[in-house]
This record gives sequence, structure tokens and C-alpha cells, in this order.
Amino acid sequence: VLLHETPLVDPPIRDGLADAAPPKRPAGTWRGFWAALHRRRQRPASIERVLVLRLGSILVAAFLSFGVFYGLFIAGDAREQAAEEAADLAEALESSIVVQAGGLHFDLPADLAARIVARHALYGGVETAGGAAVGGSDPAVLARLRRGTAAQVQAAELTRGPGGLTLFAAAEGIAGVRALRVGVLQPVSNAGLAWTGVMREYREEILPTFAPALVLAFAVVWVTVRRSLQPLRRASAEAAAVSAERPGRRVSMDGVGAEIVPLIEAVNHAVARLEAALAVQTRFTANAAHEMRTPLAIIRARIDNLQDGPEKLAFQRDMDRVTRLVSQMLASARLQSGQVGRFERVDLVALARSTLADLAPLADAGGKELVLESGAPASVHGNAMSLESALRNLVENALRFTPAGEAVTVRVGPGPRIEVADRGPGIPADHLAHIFEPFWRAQDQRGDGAGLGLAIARDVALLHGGRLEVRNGVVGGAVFALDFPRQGAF
Amino acid sequence: MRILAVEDEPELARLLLVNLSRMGFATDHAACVEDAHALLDTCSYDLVLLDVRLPDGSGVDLLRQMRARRQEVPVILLPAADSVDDRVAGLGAGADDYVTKPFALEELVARMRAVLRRPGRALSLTLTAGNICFNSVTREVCVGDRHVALARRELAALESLMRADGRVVTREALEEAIYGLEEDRQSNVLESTLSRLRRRLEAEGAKVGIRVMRGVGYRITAEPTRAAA
Repeated sequence: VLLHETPLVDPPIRDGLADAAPPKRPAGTWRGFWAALHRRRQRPASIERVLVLRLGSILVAAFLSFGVFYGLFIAGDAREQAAEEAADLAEALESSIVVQAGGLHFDLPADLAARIVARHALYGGVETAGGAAVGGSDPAVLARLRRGTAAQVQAAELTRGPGGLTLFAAAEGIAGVRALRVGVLQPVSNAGLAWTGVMREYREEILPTFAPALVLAFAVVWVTVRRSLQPLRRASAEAAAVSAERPGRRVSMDGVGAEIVPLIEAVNHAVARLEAALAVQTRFTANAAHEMRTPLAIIRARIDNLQDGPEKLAFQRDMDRVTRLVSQMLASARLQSGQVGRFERVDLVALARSTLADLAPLADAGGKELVLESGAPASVHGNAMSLESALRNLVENALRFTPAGEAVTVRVGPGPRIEVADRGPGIPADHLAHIFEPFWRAQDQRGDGAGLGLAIARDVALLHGGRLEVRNGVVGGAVFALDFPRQGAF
Repeated sequence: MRILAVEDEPELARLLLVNLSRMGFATDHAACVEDAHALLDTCSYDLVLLDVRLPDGSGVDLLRQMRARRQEVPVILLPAADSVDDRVAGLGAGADDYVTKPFALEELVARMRAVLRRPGRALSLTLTAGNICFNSVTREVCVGDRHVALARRELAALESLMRADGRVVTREALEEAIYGLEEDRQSNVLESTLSRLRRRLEAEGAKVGIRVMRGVGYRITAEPTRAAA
């Protein structure tokens, strides 16, 4: 049934929080990207996260650049290292030579063959006496070996040729009884040499010593940031716990940094000023109530003392009206200054039951019926007396507009919600903007209402983090709903 | 019935005294906490009407002191402020009821009667509605001049309804009355108990009706329930 009802009001009683219309998606991908980035920035970032990420990035960058500079610095040594490696290779080759059918031959084990291939190296060997080539030798290497003496080929040498830079290294050895020389020729590049040097430094020197230090430094950064922010986090929690219900609470300055102290002082001063203003307001409404109600009580007693008659009845009716008006104005003033009293868990079904039971005589007097419909139990965290006065005002309003012989229906739930449906004429669209204004009444509406009931109900709803909604029902009449959507957890 | 009215506003006190004595209550007056203590220590009262703001202290504090001294006389507070916390504090301090100023005399007297009629207050009390009498001590029910025997649950429901004197008794209150604390509650027992009670009273010729307020509770009325209802 609810689906067919016309929602009339997007109520003028916005609660002022997050009015979250989804942002339009820009046409271009880049614009979309920037928009997304911008949205991300709108959400406040965690200081801890930002600090840890930034300091961590600085650490990693320092570590990397140290390695690079160190690597470049020792790149000069890279040549020597490369030569050493080439010499190692030459020796390994030399020891792989076997005597076969009177001649010498290379017989490379698999790992050595792989090293040769990986370096694009060429190799060869000659007998020192006679200059016979070892089987499997490369001609270019043989030419180099035959060209120089043993001493000349002992040291590695770099040569710039048409094919680029090449490195030549040689080793001497003995296979069987024959002395021989083995040479290795491999292409290299300066950049390659530097890179090899850097990688080698990382692998053998930097990583093993500095990586644990890096991890440790990161952990120290994290812990330091966390601990430095701890007083701020505590101060935020204390500030959040300040409320009108618990006056006298302040944010303490224990352990917070000098930069935060002025902020906390400002917050504490603001809270103190608000508390003082609230105390004045509370005293004022309490005194106003006393000063107005005492003379009213005297007048009422005088009227009750009169002789019975039409005159007395008229006085009593006027008196009831003034009393109701004063009560509502005082209630409204209290709510406007945020005085709602103590919060506790309130069972909405029981609350509706006792409120309707109290209002039964009023309904009877007008020949109207009050009906309560309730399903699952529903409760809110709130002040029972304020909530009861909100519901009472809504039901009184509904009874005023419902013709004799008809019923006002109060529905509790589903969830933390109370609806009051009347059988009156409904609310014309041009009245919707005004019905919650204090003292507003429709032109054609006479009667005893002061026009404060709906304003009171709305204020109570707002002070409970909820709202008062209104729409016209599908079968006629108006439906007012006290809704507490953010209390879903209860 | 002897009543003590503690009220500092002289004109209101005078009118209260005049009206209450006209309705048959013998009423004494105290204008401050000190006078009230003096009177409470020397006389015995059936009921105290207590203003909250008094020149030499708070009525709620006076009430607390009374309860601490084991003066168990029923007290109705007459607060002029309708601050909800005042009411809660008053009831917490041991008040039996409160009537906010300004009040109609009838309202005040009705509340006074209700407080005086509470269980445990009076030794014996006969409740009446229409032609039904209910003796709260012997728990005997008579319709007209005939005794009627009712089952325990029906008796409990009838007593609650008659004590409420025509006001609506909520379902919670009735369930509390008919089950007591120890029993498991079942749905529909309330409905069937009340419909049995209603049929029974009708059959005995009772000139009262038990009306249901849908979803809220029940009340007893002076005219018989219509057969169709």
C-alpha cells in the first residue's frame, strides 16, 4: 500500500548532514581521473598514514640512490673485476683441457659451457712450445695468443675494435707434460661494466648489510609516528566525548605538542562558553516556567472556586488553552536550547501504548478512535518524556483534523519509526513549506491549537538524530512519521 | 482524611485549603521546609501535597529527608516547572505522583484518590464500577448484591481495570497483573481472559462494559459492552 502513496515533502527539515548527491562523471578519461583524484583528496587523509608513507619513501629512495652512487663510484674498479672474471674463466678453461689421441682438446663441463655462452665469449689455447692449437679453439683467439709473449697476455686487455669494446684475458697452465696458454675474448661495454659493478656491489655488499637496517629504520619511523600522534588521538576522543549531557568535561593537554595546545585551548574555551550559555538558558526556562505557572495555578484555583455555571465552564476552557500554550512554549524553548534530559533505551511500542492510553479521553470527547498497529519490537536511544511529548503532539494534531466516527492510526515500525495517520483532508501542497513553523496555522483552521505541536515534534526528532516526515496517505488524510534512521543498530 | 499542603505562595495555599476542605479533606498548611518538618513530626497525615520550590529549600530534598526518616506517608509533588528531570528526580526521591501547576482541582483530587487507593496503602478498600463491587482484601466480587466467583486471572484483570477507574490500562500493565512474575507468557491469553471476563460479567447482569482500544489496552466503562462489539 505504501508504494502508491504520494511522497509530498522532501521535508524542509533537512538534518544538515551529508547531502550526498553523486557527482556527475566528466566526459574525458583524464578529467574523470582528475575528478577521482580530487574526490580522494576531499576525504581527510590520516596523518599517520601520510607520515609513514612519506618517511618510508624517503628511506627507500636514500637506500637506492646510495647504492647507485656507490656503484658508479666504484665503476672504475669494474674493469678490474671484469678482468678478474675473465682470468677466472681462462683458468677454468685451461683445466678443462684433456689429452686425446696425442693432441690437446677442450672438453667443457656443462656449467662452464653455459658461462661461455652467457658472455658471448670466444676461447682458444696454444702449446707454449711449438704453438700447436688446442682442439676447439677459435681462430681469433689463437691469433691473439700467438701474437704476444706469456707475460704480455697475462694481464687482461681492452681493445676497441670495429665490433666495439672487447676484453682479452689469458692463463698459463700445463696439460699432461705440455705447457700451454689459454685465452678468452669477450665483448663488453662501459655501461655494462658499470652495471655489472653496481649489481655486484648490491648483491655482495649493500643488500646483506643495509636491507635489515632499512627494515629496522622503517619500523622505527612507524612506531615514532604512531607514538607522536597518540596524544592527538586521545585529545580527539576526549573532544568527541564532550556533550551537554555531561557538563564540565574538557580536553586535557597531557603530552600533546606545543603546536596542538592552542587548538585544544580554543576548543576548551568554546565549550566553556557554550556550557555557560546553556546553563543561563536552562535557568531562564526553569524560572520562566515557575513564574508563569504559579500565577496560573492561582487563577485556576480561583476559577474552580466559582459557582458552577456556564461562566465557570468558559473560564475553565480558556484556562486550559492558556495552560497548554504556556506548556508548549516552555517545551519549545527548552528544545530550542537543546535541553532534552537524560537518554536511555526507549521501547517505542510501550511508549506509543501509554501515550495513546493517556489520550483516550480526548479521543472519546470528540467521538474519535485511536488505533495502535505494531509488529516487531522497536526501540531508540533517547529521552522517553521528550519522545512522548512529540508523539502526543502529533496525535493531538491528527485528532484535531479527523472527523467524528473516524480513527487515528499510529503505526510503530518497521525499525525505529512511528507513523501517525489521520483521516482529515490531507495537507495542501502550498501549506507544506509552513506546517513546521512555530505558531503557523492554516487560514481556515480555528480551534485551540497554538501551532506549536508540529514544531515541537520536529525539534524532538532532530535532537534524537532523526527527522519528522509528512506525506498524504493513499486513502486521504496526512501521515506524519517520526523516523530515526541512524539508530538502526538498536 | 488529613492532608498536609506544603505551598509557599499564600494565595494558592489559601485557595487550595478552601477547596480541599469543601471537598471533605481536613487540610493543614506549611509554607516552608522547616514548618513542614515540624508538622510532620507532630501530626500524622494521610497524604502530603508538596510544592517543589520552597523559600528555605527544595521540596524534593524535603521528600528525601522524610523517606530517610521512614515517614512513609504518600506524597504528591506539585512542581511548577515541567522540566522532565525534575519529575524523574521527584519520583526517584519517593514521590507517589506529581501534578504539574497549574492543575484543575478535579484532576488533583482524582490523583489524590488514586494514590490513597493504591494497594498496600489502605487496610480495606472496596472498588466500584457501575453495579460491580470489588473488595481488594477479600478479593470478593459482587454484581448488584450477588457474589460472583471468578478465576484468578480474570480477577486480576478486573482489579487492574477497576483501579484505573475508567482510564485505559495498557496491555503491558494487564499482562503484568494476570501473569505475575513467574509464569511463561503466551500470546492470546490476555485476549481470551478478557473475553471470558466480559462474557461472565454480561451473563451476571453487570452494568459495565470492557472496551478494547485496539493495539493499546482495555478500560472499564459505565455502560455495558454492546453485543456486537
